[in-house]
Amino acid sequence: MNPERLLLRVKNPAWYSGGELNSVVKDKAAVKTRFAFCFPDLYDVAMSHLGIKILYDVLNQRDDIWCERVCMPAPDMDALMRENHVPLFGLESRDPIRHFDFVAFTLQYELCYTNVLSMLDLAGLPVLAAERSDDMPVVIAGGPCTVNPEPLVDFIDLFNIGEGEETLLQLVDLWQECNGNKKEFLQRADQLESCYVPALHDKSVKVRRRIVKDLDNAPYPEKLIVPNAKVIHDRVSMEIMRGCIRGCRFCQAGMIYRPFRQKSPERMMEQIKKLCESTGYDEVSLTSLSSSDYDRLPEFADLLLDYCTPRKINLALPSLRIDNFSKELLDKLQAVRGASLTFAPEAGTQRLRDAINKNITEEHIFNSCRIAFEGGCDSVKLYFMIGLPTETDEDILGIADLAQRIVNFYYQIRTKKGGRGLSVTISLSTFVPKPFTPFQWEPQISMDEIHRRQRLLKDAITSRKIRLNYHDGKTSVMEGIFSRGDRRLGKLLLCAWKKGCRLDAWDEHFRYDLWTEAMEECGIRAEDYAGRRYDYDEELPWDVIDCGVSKAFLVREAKLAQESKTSPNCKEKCLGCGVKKICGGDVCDSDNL
Amino acid sequence: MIRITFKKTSTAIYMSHLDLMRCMTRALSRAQIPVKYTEGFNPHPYLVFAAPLALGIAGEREYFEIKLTEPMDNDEIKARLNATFPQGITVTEICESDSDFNEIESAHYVLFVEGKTAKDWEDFFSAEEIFAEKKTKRGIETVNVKTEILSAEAKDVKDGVEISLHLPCGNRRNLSPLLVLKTFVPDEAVYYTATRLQFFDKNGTDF
Repeated sequence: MNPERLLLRVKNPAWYSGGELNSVVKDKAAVKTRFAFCFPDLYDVAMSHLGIKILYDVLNQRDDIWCERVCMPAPDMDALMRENHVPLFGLESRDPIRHFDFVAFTLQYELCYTNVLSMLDLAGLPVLAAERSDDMPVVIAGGPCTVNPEPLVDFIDLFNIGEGEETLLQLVDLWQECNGNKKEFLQRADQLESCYVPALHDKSVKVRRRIVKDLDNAPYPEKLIVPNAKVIHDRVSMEIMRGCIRGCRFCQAGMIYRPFRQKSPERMMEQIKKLCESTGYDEVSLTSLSSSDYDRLPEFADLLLDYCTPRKINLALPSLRIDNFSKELLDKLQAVRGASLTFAPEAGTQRLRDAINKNITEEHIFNSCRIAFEGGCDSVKLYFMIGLPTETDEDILGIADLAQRIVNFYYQIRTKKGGRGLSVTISLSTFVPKPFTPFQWEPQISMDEIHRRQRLLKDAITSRKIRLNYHDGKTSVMEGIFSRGDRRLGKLLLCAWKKGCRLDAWDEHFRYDLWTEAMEECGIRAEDYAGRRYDYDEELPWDVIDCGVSKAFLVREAKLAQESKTSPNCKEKCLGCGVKKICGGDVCDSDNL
Repeated sequence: MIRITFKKTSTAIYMSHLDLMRCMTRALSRAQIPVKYTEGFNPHPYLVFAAPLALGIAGEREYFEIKLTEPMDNDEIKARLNATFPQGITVTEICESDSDFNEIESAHYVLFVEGKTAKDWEDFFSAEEIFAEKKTKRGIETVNVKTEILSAEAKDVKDGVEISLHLPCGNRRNLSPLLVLKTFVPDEAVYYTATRLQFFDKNGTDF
């Protein structure tokens, strides 16, 4: 059945229709390799993601490859597809992806793992790699979660670790060289530095994360698909740099995207102009892990404003750190437009901020508040975490105290009287230990403890100006299990998926009851994974991957955390994290080391 | 005011009215049409649509109007826009506006319903009163579809029935062909297509 016949029966037909501006349609008879780029979440999340757009473009630049997008259907579409025997299809051609050469998943967060199984199944492919025959597509996976591929080894034929701009094309070349012989392809691919074929890999050989050395000359699309329906981030995204100099000890992105590499303002302006012209978007967002660490930000801001202002294009600058947040920059970028200010102090006391190496002081926070409040801002959003290593009740009460002092400070210095006054929103998440961070050995707090600490904070907040948002912690525990999981979790994943778990990142679809049942049946306990302190000298499931940062560095940082001692950032002093041996970045290469 | 006549077909029918407005705004920007913006805190191009077209309905002869800040040849505007639309949207004509969208009183639609016959329609339509529930801002209202339908004609075609409907359309009175369809065929699994062919003014002349 043509999927078109189902579209008017679902809530968001534009998620499945294709036909968007700048989507790539090719003559299937004229291409050699068909590639299904699968984002294991709903269309509006998928189409907000930059990585898929970069790689879609890289692959489609080649005349002999046709890369199509595939998203996880929402439950209404999923049910109709199953009922009417419509297998999962590529959005561009509407052809079933089970006839493609590659079915590739990008794994952005642990809670999308059941979606991978669901999509394979909906495609008409056995979910277990061992049950797929040689004439079925090669199922590959990449993305940040693959730095610990172990929980998914039962389902994925090949993991491609690291940045895919160059390696995906190498894989397609190899596939074409092997004339579509999957056995031969997998054997040869496993020999590539960044590839891991779990069924064949010699565990003594480390798989090295692939890094694009020169970001300025790395491929970047000149056109972006413009979705027909509204998606979460509906704008031009400009990646200004990769990697982060900061070294926050809980942050996986800060470690696994090292080294710090920046693009030049000139190159980015060229790209932004082309992207604005080809999309008609009225917003440009600068993406990076910490935009204010970009060396040439003031100069770049001027260029951006010269281009954007007359064209009525807005600038969005997420990931602005508060410590080097200057009045001039604010004014330039109008970061407080809409009169809201967002900070991520992550911890409530200086002691704990030091332990996690979030090098922000109260002085920074209050300086930024002053600038923002004097500029007319009356809404502050604060991000904090509970359950961080070494956290005590005092640190949690410190969150309430800090928020209260921000409220008091506002009323001391506010210029306008009346109005609604200040509103402070605290978003509280739960710490999840992640591979390749200094906290990778640390236990996650238990569900009961999550609830106790949440209540403790809730009770400590007395002002009606302060609002507290948090999740109940169940998803954090699942995330904690899978982030540091081993291959025994494959069984759990399969079992939970069979019971009906999917779209776990969505509150309305997350079924903790089914997960609990599955864990009992599989004999897997949260306390053995999320809740366990791993030993420094124990073999870790993800030891097969070499991410760049060395274990010795991570141990050093972990020990400093126990003493609540900070480390300098990469620009101040090189800590010898080890990434330089794979590829030096802007700071690693500089002469002042 | 410049009036732009366009078609909305194929995958573009899955755009809601809001999606379509966004789509047109972006197309005007890509085509670099010197379009007049609204004043105000959040300026956006000044666009006026004849009548919203619900998600799922195709349009053969739809209109919107813009103002220009400097003159541009109509053919040039048409060529530039048609070079930059998503699949399913085409500009067919551009002219000076010579009437007011408020004059639109009705529209002509054609429905195709799979697996049904002209006889089914006639049985349905021969009832004296046909009540349907209509969701409005005020809640659920019951309307008598029968008295609202200006005219209807059904004929058997391959695999189903084609129903030609003349319905009130515009600011004062409006009846969605999808409401008629859902009342005729409550079963959601039945496949259908719906197209708005054209508008009429109060005299019943082509708009």
